[in-house]
Amino acid sequence: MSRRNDRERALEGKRVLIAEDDFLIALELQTVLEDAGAEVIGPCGSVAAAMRLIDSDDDIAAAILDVRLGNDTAGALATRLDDEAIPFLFYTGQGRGEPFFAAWPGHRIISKPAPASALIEAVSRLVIH
Amino acid sequence: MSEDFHARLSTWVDASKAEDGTALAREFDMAGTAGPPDPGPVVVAIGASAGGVEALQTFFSAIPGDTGAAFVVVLHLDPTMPSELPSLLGARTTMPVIQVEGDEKLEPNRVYVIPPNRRLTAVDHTLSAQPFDEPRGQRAPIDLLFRSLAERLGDGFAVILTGAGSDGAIGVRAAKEAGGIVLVQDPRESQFASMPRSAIATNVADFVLPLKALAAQLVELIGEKRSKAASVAELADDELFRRILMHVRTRTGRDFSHYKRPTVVRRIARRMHVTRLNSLTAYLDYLRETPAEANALLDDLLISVTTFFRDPHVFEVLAADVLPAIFHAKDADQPLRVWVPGCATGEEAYTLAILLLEEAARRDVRPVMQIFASDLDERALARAREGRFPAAIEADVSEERIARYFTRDSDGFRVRDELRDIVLFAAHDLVKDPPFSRLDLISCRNLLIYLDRELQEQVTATFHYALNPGGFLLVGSSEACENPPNLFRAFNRNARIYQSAAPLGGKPRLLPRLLMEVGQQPREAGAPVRHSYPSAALTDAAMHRQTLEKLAPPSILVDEFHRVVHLSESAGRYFQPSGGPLSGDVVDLVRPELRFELRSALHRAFENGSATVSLPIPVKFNGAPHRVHLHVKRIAAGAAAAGQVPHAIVMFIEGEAMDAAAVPSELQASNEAVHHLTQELELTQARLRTMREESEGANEELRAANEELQSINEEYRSTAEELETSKEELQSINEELHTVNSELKVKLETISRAHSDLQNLMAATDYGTLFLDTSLRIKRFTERVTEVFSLTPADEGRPITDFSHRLEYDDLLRDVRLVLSELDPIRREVRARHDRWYDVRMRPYRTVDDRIDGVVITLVDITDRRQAEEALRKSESRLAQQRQLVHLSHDPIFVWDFDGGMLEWNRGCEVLYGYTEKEALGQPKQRLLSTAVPGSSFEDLKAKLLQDHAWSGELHQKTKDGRALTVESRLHLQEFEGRRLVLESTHDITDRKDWDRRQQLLLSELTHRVKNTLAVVQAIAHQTVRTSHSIDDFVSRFNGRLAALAGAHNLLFQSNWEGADLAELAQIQLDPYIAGHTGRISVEGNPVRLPADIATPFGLVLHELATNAAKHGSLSKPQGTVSVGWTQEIRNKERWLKFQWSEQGGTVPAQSKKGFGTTLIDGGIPGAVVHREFQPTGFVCVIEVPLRELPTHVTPQ
Repeated sequence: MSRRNDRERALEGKRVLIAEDDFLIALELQTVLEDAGAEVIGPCGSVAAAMRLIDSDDDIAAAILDVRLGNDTAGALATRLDDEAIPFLFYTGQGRGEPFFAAWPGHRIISKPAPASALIEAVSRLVIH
Repeated sequence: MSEDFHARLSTWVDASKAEDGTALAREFDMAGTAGPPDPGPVVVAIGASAGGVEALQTFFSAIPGDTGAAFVVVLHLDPTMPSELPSLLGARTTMPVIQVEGDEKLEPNRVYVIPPNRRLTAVDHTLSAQPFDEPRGQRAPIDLLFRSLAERLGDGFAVILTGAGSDGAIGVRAAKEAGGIVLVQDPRESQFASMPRSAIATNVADFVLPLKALAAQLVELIGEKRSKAASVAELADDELFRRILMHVRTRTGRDFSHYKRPTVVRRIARRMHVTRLNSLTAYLDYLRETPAEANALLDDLLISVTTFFRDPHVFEVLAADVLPAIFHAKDADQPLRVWVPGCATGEEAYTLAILLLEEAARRDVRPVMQIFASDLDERALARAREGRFPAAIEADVSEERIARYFTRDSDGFRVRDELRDIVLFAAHDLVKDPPFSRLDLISCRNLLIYLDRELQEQVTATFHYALNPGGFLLVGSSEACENPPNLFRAFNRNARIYQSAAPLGGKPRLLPRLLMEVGQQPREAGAPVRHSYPSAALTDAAMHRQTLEKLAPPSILVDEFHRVVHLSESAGRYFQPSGGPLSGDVVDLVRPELRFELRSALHRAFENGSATVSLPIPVKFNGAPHRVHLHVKRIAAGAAAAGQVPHAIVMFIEGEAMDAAAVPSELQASNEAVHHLTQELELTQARLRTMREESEGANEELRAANEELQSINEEYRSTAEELETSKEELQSINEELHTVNSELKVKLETISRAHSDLQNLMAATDYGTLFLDTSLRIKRFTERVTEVFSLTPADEGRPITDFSHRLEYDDLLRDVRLVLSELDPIRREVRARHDRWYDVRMRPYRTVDDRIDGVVITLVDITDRRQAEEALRKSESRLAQQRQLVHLSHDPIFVWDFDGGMLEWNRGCEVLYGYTEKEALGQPKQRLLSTAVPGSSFEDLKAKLLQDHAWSGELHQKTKDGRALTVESRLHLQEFEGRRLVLESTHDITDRKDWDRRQQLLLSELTHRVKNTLAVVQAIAHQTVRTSHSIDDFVSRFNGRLAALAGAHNLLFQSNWEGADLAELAQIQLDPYIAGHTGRISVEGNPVRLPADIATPFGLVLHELATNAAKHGSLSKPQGTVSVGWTQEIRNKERWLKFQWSEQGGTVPAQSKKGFGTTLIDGGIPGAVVHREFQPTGFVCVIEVPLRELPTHVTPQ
């Protein structure tokens, strides 16, 4: 049962970093993004792994971050991305009221679980921006 | 008075000076006519008291500064304060105002003012200020000044202005007696009318005028006094003077012709002054035209001053010597009689009465004592009868006597009845009326001096008659009663006390002939009464008379009763008194030969007025007969004053001696017959003489009886008069009673109004009031009483003891009696049987005159009050309980002053905050508890509290040991007695807040996990969809994977998400397959606990492995088996799990593409190293994963 659709290939050629420690969710994200034409960097399950990818890659168009990564949070990662001027969004099970988010106002928070279309649309905005 | 007048008067007075001696000298001084050549200025003495300053200012404003008079002002001043009077008066007059300090000589046109705490007296023309003798309150400085001025300076002006009391009343009388003119402010105008009224009451005021008119009148009078060179020369005119006295006698019945002329002249001159007439002629005309003037003059003539205990030493002698003698001589039943003629206003009479009473008290006897006090002046008598005297008498009467014999009146003293009853006052003319008789003492002081000598002798004789033998006569200090001689002998010459010289038991004494007949009515004016005025000036006539007397024949002057009045020098030769008692009758005295002829001749002379010259009567002188002619002649009526007894002169004209032998011989023959006849005649004559003597004796006795009767009659008359007075008094008492009656009517009205007020009051007050008398009988009660006592109005008068009551008050009657005996009010709250409460009060019933006349019981229903009190008590105890509850409560409750510190602090506070009540009280609340308001400030909180009076919410506070608290606090602001109190109760929610936060964390973790799980499910679904061939395939796969996920979750849930046992996890995942393939799946390994983040994907991987085995692997073959086993080993200090999935007897799948299951197996377990290989025996999968002992994600940030 394939849901491929040309119209959805909005991320064609865009390199998108995925930081998600849950294997199945990361797999799902990867699937969705690749279906939309994006090239997935990662997915990586820890901050350190993500940092290494950013270090080695200077063509990241956007990033999708889970807030909790193993025993860390995505805070340091988000700061790094801001420094690199890489747009990103949070894809998380945390409520919007979590104090964590107060440090990154203006960044999109997409609550798990989200339909693939919503994800694509959000990432597309990051990329166009 | 002008000097001219004084000069004339003094010469005129001089004429009689020789006769009167000291008495006149006194008169002289009083008139102020003699003494220093400078008579000094006219003196105006002014007395004032309350309201005086203002009156004096008005007065002096109206007095010009050049009147020539000296003004002496006496005001009652505060003895302790300096006087402002001189400056106050100085502002109103141009005259210098001098406050007298020491001595001041009186000068014209000056005002002399009394200094404080001094009295002013005048000596000659010098005023002197001296300390008072009397204590404060008994001082009468106005009287003192007036009296001293009258004594020393004589006439002048006495002015009484406004004032309280009666000071001045005695003084004005003295001033008037001395010839002064008395002016009194109209009491209606006076601010204080009492002093003017007292002065007017003395009857001596000449003018009663309002202040301004009074001043004007005074100025005029002064002017006249100074300028009048009156034609008083006329005063010397006997004729005019007599006509004036005659007129007074006609008008008033009083004859002053025998009063001493200077006194009378002075009084007439004073009246002339008052009426402002310049001559006696004019005054006589005025007197005729103005009927009232005669009375005014009479008043002035009668004026006399008398005081209590005048000349105290006299009364000392009287008390020491005279009264004891009188009492001593009396038997107990004999009445003691005293007469005070000329008593004026009665002071002297009362003085004697006091002494008599004292003597009687000393002797402890109560004899009948009677003092007759008589005077001409009816008005003076009326005052004497009234017995009311001004307060100034305190100066004369000792304090003990005042207390004993007087009662204090509104403005003076009144004699007590004891004193009044002794004294009988009667109008009586000493000269005209018969005297009182059988007296023990006569006090007639300073009356004789007003009478001329003739009258003095008559009065003295009258006194002698009136006194009992040995009785006493008291006369004035300048009087004597030596004439007629032998009537009195001096008892104490200094005190002027005489004793009657009449022998005891003598024959009845005869009343001296009165100059006028008894009860004689005044004669008509046309018949002047003439008196001979013995004069010493007629020396030539006397010489003539003496010569004549020597040369004329011997003679005897005989009165109509044939008594010898006077003998010539040689008349003794014809006397030869007969034996027996010596008689004054001339007929008894002369020689017997002459008696017959003399008697008949005298008879003829007095009966017919014819003179007789007798035939020669042979009288034998020394045996030789001489011829004697008797010449008896009545003295012509014109020679003596009318009313005088007729006299006759008897002259003896002696002829030559007769020769006895020369008797004619022819007569010898008839000798025998003559002798016989002579004998017969002598017998008859002797008989006649006896009879005549008897008749004369009887006659004399009758006369004596008559006199006696007259005296008694006089007494009756006095008594009648007294009765008349009593009647008048009764009349006035009757009138007073009328007044009292009408007053009583008014009072009755008031009382009935008060009564109805009382009734209304009793009806209006909702109290039961019960009045009992002293024997506990019901006098009166109000309606409400019937609630307690079953009374009806008919029960009034019955004793309360007859009635039962509903009070639970057994001691009621005992208490009532206690109130009656102790007079202390009693009050009790008592329960009644019908469950009511009463406040029972008992107090003595006091009448308005403070007498106890029973008991008043009031019953006030206080049930409501009691209930209210009960409720209050309950609520108070409830409150106390609540307070206790609050205090003991574990909930912190405290009260703080909005503007101050902590006020209340309960146990709960102590426990929560750690501060003891002692530490907390008074501390500011915010500082004590470091209160902070989340999201706001304490100031905002207070503002909100003020606005809404309440606040509730969370607060952060700190305990004593610094622990932070979160409390839920309720605040309530309440204004109480002007303070704003805040009641605050807090509830510690620190733990709850922690719990809440933890829950919040759990909840968010749960949400996160659920969302994550959903995302996982979404991913599984999506990935499953991507690799499914059909819906059935998808459903079957998806269900399997979901069940695997749920199974892992289930295990984790059981371990509180801490981890899952691998054996159990394998069991759950493999169970569906074990069930269908019994004995084909073996699981072997030591117990391993998988962390939560590994356990879930491990479960999914196990599921995929089992599914693959069932579909394509060994389990899809009937004999194929699966062995599952694991081991642990340490690598690089980490514990690793080595898991092995081995299939036996399966086939090798021809897999071209990596499916979702495989992807899951390869990458699903974080950190795992996965080896898959198809061995000939079957599929083998080895998973190596590090087992870090990690805490779960569920930790608070």
